[in-house]
Amino acid sequence: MSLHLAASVPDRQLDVALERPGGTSLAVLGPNGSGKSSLLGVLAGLLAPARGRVELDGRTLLDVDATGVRAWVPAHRRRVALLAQDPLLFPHLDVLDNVAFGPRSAGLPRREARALARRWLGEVDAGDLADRPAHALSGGQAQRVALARALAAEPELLLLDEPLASLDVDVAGAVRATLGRVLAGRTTILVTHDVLDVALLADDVVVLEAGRIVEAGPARDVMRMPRSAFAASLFGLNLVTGVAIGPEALRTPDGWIVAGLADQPLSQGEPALAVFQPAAVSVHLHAPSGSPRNTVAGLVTALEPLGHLVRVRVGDLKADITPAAVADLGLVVGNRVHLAVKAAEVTLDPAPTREGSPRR
Amino acid sequence: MPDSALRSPRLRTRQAPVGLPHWAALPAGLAVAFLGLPLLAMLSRVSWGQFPALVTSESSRAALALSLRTSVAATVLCLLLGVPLALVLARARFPGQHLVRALALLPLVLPPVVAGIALLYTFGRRGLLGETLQVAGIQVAFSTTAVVLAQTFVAMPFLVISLEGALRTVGQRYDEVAATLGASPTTVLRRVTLPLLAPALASGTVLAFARALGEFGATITFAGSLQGVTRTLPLEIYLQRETDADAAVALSLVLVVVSAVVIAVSRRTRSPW
Repeated sequence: MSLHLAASVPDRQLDVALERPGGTSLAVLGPNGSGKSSLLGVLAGLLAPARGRVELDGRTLLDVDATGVRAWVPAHRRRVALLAQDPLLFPHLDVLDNVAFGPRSAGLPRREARALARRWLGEVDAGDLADRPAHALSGGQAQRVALARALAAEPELLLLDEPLASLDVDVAGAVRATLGRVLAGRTTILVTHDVLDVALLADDVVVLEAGRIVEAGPARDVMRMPRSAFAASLFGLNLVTGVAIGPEALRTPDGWIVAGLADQPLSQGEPALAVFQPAAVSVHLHAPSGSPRNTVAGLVTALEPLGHLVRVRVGDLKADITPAAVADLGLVVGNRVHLAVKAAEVTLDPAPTREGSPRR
Repeated sequence: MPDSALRSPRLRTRQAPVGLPHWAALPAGLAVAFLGLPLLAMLSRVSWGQFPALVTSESSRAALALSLRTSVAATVLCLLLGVPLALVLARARFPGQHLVRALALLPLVLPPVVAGIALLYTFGRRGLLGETLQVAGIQVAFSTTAVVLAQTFVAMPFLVISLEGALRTVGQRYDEVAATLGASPTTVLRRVTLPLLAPALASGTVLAFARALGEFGATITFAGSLQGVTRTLPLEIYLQRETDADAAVALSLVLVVVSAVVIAVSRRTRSPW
């Protein structure tokens, strides 16, 4: 059930290509307006790209080139189901008939469709909701039912557009656990803003920015070593880009030299990036002397509470320090400070090219 | 049920009206009087003693039966043609769309007599289509069919307007979900779009029926006034007014009651969700 997609939607500034092995899940990350939902729309058959080609398990779902539309399978024949942030249960049907909708549309008799619907409701732990009207459900219940409805249509590709975004944290956690169970072995594309979704539901990640893939890789690698500013900020890491000036050092455009550890030595003169944890960054009022550290000076732009720590923002950089340290330093927004991070805490890597080099 | 104390008017919170100048009450009251007085005036003229006899006379019963029959037929025609038209207007994109919409709404503002003349030159014996129909042995003008056509012509916009507005309000998100679940466009229409539109469909149908029932100008121009064939209740009232004012008033009351029922029914059809 492999998926091949290449699509260009000039109206939405979307221009992407991706290849998915069957039975795996891909998280699509990116800022608002980066084209994530348009990407799902192209796959679902709700948005026609100016050019593109989609193949799912050997079936050509769409093929549009400069000469015109060569192939177009309408949404209802694609076997691509879409679960959005809003569950959109049909308000005139009860829960059971909502879930039975897909099987009924596929031509199953009412009794069989309902039996199937009951099975899927059980699968998502919503069996007891079968006889409720669709509008008498809580947000979490409705999203479980919507999930059962999507699965009951037996899609070959399941698209999830921020499915947990409108739920309370603990409800989202419970529904996420269910999702993790039912998505196993399914070809899934998941648009999300939530690191937990990436950590628990995704095998791989792509990051979209302004309609282009700027980063792609296994979820584990992207979380540990993001290569795009968006992913770094999402996973709470500092990301610094520059040019390699030695096998284990780079210089930023501002002239800051960052030394660190590289899995493979960097090639001098090539683009490179450095990633480090905010907790590894220390904050000083005066330039620290002594042990060799990477230091950079800047103005404090924000102080934010972060659990039991305080996040100090200096431009794009983040340092997480204790409230006591903030008090000792007498930090306020606008202070000039020096940030220091030990080379041993910094991971260096060659930077991807702009078109996003999938490292797999 | 909530505690009865909570429902007493003394304790109920009320929205303070903003954007409602005090002086508006005067013209608003005049408007109510203007709309209500004629009804009262007519009621005061009803000769209740003769009422049963007047509304059950042969010509009255013929007119009422014809009116109901033709109005139902016209309403069915409005549904068969108007629902697809509303769908196309709300959801398709094609050149000249605003012209088509304007055309669909034209009968709302067109004087019914003009509509009748236009229909006559279309379906009349010497009309655009009439001549062809004549050859095929079908004569439309001055027949019951003509009554139905006239009523359909003037009533259709009521259905189309209310459906198109509702279609835009409901949006297409449910239909998109249904499509991704494997429902063909016809299945989506039958199982999702129309059920979601049910309230607007009901009120649009009722409005179209009411308009058809009250149709006068286009009918008398295009269909004439032949008892039992084309003389609907409004025509019967108009004719009786000359000869038997009591009968006209009694029949008018019948139409008022039917209209009141229609309004009550259309007010009831609120969205259940």
